[in-house]
Amino acid sequence: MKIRKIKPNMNNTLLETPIQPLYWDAKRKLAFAMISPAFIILLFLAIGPMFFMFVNAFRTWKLAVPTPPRFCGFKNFLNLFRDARFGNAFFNTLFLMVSGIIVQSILGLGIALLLKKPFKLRPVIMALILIPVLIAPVVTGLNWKLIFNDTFGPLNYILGSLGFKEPLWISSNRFWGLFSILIVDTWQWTPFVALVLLAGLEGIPNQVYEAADVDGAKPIMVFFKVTLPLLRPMFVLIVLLRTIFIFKIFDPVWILTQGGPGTATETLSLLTYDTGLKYLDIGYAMAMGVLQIIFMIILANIFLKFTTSSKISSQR
Amino acid sequence: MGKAILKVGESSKKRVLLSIVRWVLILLVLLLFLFPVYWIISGSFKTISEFYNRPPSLAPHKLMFDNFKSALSGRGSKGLIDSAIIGVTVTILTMIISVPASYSIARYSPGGQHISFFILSILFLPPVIGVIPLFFIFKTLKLLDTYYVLFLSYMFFNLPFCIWIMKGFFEDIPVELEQAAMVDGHSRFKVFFKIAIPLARAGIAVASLFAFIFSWNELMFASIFGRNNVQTLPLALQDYIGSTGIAWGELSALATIAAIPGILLAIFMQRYIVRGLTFGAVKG
Repeated sequence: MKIRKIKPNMNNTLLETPIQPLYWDAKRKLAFAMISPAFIILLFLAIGPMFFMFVNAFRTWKLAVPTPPRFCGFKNFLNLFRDARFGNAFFNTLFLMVSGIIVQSILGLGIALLLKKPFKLRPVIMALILIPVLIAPVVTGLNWKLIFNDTFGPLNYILGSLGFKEPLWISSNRFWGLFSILIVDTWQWTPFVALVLLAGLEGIPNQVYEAADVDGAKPIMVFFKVTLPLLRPMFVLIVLLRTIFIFKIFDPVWILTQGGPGTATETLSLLTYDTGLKYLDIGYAMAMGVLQIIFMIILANIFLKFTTSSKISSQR
Repeated sequence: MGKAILKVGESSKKRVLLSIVRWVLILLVLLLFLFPVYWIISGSFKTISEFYNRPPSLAPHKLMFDNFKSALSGRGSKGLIDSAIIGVTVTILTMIISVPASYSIARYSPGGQHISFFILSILFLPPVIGVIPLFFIFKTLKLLDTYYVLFLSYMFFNLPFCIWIMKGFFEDIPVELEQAAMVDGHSRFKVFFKIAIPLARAGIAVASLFAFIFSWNELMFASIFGRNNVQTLPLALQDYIGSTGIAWGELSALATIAAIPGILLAIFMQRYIVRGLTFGAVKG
């Protein structure tokens, strides 16, 4: 595996070929004709809703109340900052994000190191551990609902026979609920993290290790002083991608706990969903949406800058 | 690459021990990641009483297919058929629209970086943000609970994803190849069909498989835009959970069916999954 090299200016080579100006027009036409169907659909699916969102974020519009929507300025946003439930959802999402990234990076690095040396069965093992990534999230949720079952599930049986306390997992309290979701997310995404780090490990040229060996470095020192620093771009990539994905986590939480008990494990996506489609408080839900969009646009910018910068592409 | 980092002076005994430890750990990892999958598959062969055993029965008592039969005679078959219809149609539509778009961005970049950024940022949006406004838009258009609404709304994540992934594959094709063909008198359109598409076929295959699996696995859009006329497999599964006295055997059987495409894809597409899910940042 090698790391993708992005060549920002290569695309324009055709543009700069000394062909007649007449061609340039034909090319431009063709380029726009090819992209326009996709662009129009995305405009409808993304810009339309975005417009709807920015308009209604500044309006009070509750479908449960028969008064027509009216402009209310920043009231929705001000309410958001005082809303304990929003704070709770924000904290839960943040907790899942931080703990998920830390746990998955450490476990993923361990697995990547285990698989670093090529062997005959390695591709098979890599394929098998990728199953959790691609399996339908609904199925994942169901799997774990059976496993977490407090009396008949295999997990508590094992814990019980080892003499541990048997927790109630998803139906107990905030800590165990969030912990269960963390376990499921870790199960689902650690293999992916591991394979990204494995790609990073394979991208480190052998000469680096040889040089360290010549200098008489101990394996532990090589790991901390050579391997980890060289893996930095991969860790940045993982942090970015996991942040994006955990930020929009919905399906596993929805299947496992529905945000419960109460609002104990509610995440931002779940709260937005409930506010908009259950309590029908459209204005308020859209204000939440606007905050999430701003956050995501910042992240998308960082991602694009990062992947097109020389940092990740210089490492081959 | 495969050069052992172990020093020459170290005894072979230590090396054997290390290799044993390594294999034990690898098997442990496999066990941890595959057990839940095994659990749902084995559950689909269990009778309902076996779900309420302690200790839990590790393997079904006998291989029986009653669960599959009853799952597929109920709402399961509707779910399976709808998921297949939607998955295949969405994949075909997505590819027809995204292949030219992706090529256009990779080669000519009309609109500069802005279009790429627009497309990427849609991919990063939490779907719940799009869902609420779209619900009202589709309601006004009287499209709710039809197949069309899912064909269209699944483009929300499939189009940006496929464009972005295939863009990388198209960029990998040397421009000189296409220029040579143009010098030979082929039109740009012909170059696209005769040279670019065949050379990027791996990328096109990968993107279409991802498009299929995304629409096959999707729950949120299906649960809001569909309901009675259109019921995909994840939606059917979700309805099982909501009902009282869950028929765990039936549910597991249906979940096993729903899991099959994901499992197959993981096994046959392993090389490309990392590239796909890092949005092309890591090349497999």
